[in-house]
Amino acid sequence: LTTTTKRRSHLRTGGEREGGGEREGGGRTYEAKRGQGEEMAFTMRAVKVPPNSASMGEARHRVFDFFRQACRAIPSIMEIYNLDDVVTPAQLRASISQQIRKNQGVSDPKVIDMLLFNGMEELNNITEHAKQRHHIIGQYVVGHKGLVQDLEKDQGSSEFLKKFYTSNY
Amino acid sequence: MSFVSIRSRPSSLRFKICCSATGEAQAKKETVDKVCMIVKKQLAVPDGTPVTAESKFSELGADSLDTVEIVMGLEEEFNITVDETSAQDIATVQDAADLIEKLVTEKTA
Repeated sequence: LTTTTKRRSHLRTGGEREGGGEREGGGRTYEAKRGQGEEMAFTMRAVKVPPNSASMGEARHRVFDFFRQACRAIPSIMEIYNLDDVVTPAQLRASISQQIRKNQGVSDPKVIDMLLFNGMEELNNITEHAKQRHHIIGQYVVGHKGLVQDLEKDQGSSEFLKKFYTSNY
Repeated sequence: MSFVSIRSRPSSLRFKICCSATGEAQAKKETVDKVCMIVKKQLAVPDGTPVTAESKFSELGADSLDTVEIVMGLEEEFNITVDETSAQDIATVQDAADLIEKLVTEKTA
């Protein structure tokens, strides 16, 4: 649990699905798994974030583009992982935006770029079926309290209460 | 009898033209209602607050990411694709409904 939350916490854009998923469909995954170099190429090709955003405005723009891309990939993801009876597209959109909101306090465009890069990578992994159903369900469908969805508007509650279920200290 | 039937056809044509003209000016009420419902659900608007065609998203407590999410929800609901430049102009429920109407008519045309 700790590793996934760590990864999530520095993902400005959560880590979600890729809109160009149709290009790298099912057949390509076998190519990707064959070798390190090919895997790298596979991931690199789909990631379009150039290293530097000029300003916060541009970074914002990229975040929204990424979000749109992820949302447009949701139908194919639901089909790949057979999520139709577990979750609705609206809930998936909400979990993606929740991931993005976790990092909304970031002010450095370079950090945002890095988070975007991580997000694109995650999205790629998900659309090329490199993950499995239980990963998706555990990371994006189920909230911290089990089956209950995390409330996005929960930001105002105190730190003490947030840590209440996890430990005494 | 035949005169009556000939006269009735042109008048029905005129009726159709009138309909399309008013259709462009304003979005249909059911579209606006659907948009309102999606917005309410997305922003978790409490029951007391009214959501009308003129309500601005920012007034209802939406930040920019919420607006994008609402647009994506509308895309899914109406099966359309909103491009980015049009999406930036959406500020109220009415704007969204008008844009949806336009895209739906373009799609079916």
